Amino acid sequence: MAQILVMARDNTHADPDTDRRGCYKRGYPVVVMPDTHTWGREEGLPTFVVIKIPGVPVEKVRKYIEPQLEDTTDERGRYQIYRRRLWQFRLDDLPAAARNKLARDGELTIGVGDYTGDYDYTWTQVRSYLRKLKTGTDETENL
Amino acid sequence: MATEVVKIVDPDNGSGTDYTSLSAWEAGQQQDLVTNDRIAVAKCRCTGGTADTTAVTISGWTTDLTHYIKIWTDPAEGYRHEGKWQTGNKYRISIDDDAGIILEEFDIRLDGLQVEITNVENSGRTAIRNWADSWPSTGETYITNCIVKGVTDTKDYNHEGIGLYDASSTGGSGVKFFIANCVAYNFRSIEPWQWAAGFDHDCESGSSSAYFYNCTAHNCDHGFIGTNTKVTNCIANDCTSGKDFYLYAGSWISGSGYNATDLSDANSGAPGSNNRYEQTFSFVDADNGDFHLQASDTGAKGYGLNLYNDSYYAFQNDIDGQDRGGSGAQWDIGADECVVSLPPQLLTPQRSVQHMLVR
Repeated sequence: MAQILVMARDNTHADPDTDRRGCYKRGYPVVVMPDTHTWGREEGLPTFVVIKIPGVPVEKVRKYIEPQLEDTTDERGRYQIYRRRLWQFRLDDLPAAARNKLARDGELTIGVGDYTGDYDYTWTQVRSYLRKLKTGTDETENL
Repeated sequence: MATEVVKIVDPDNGSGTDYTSLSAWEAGQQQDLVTNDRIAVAKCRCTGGTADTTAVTISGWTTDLTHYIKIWTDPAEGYRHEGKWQTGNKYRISIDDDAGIILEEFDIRLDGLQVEITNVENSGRTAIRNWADSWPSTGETYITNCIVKGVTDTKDYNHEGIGLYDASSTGGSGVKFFIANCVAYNFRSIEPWQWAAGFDHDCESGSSSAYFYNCTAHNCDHGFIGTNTKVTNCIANDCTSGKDFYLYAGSWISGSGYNATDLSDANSGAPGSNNRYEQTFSFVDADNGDFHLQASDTGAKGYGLNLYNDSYYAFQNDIDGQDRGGSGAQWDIGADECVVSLPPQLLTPQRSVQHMLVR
């Protein structure tokens, strides 16, 4: 029962290192919430869009809000953040109909498994637009 | 004068809510506060009893001493804790196997927050921390009136209540942390780790400083770890697997003292002078996170230093906003000031004089 709040714009910082490590970029998942969650008045366009995935537990999509960590630890065994997020929705590469719906409604509903309600796309159709930034590969796993 | 931009954070999405998590607020408000001449304020509420369960990292902003980030609960609104760990409609961040608030900015004020780590499976599960690998030359972080709660028997030696780790060669002496009226408890790890701590400020190579004032650490491996740190009016209790006060490197800042511990002088490591050793503290309900001092306490009550006019960080209230008694009062040690609501003639002679002369 998950919804993913996704950044719809780029935040920027003048320092490139800080920009990569700290700033949210368009397509970065920000938080995940259950289906029943209602969003605040600033949690929508133009700053965010919402990807709704009814029937999927929050725990299954929580990995998408993890940061990308450095490959090695510092001298005290601590991993520093390399990039603000490990995963990014390639929003600008989505089919035109999906892009238009996000621009108009600020949300997209994804059908997974035996979900019988209305949906815009299936997970199989959408997951290849979710890129793991560390490897440059797109998601292939099922939910 | 910078403009305050106040946004409401409420996991229950009550009336007037802008964001339903602090993490979303941070993403939505992340900006160059200096160029925009702003102070970014997150006013946190909890109108329906739901905890904020998403870890938040404060990073990627541009700030300075007058264009800062403030995250707080307004005591006038009723969503702030009352000096002890509380659920119900008290705003709290509750995190499963992650850090609670990660600070990578240096001009920040956290006030009146509760942060708990409910489960630790991996390392680095701190309630509030700044371990940024690049530190500026200046910055002021204030963490006041906050309660952080951990878990015991972890294998995470980095499990800390408030952890500040200055390993940067760029960290200047203008970087300061002021931690006052805070409580940290249950940050413990098992052998052979046992480096969990309530409050920690380590300088590997930086020159930042930290000021732990009127804080209470309970049931941690170490109560307070410091380097170039001033520790005054702090209680360390039941921190027996480490030291109550542990000097990580270098020296404590001059003027530390007036701390209280249940350990002996030799074992506690308490810095400075006027410390109290082998004390028994009478907390209201330590097992349930209530570290208010009972009126009958003889370990901490009335033995602190008055910081009303402190040259580094002056303040006058305790963790639940009660007046510590003005510039002439003898303060209590720890996060709470035991304020007895009795007429002056029924107070102890010392308190009676304070009451009549100061209040």
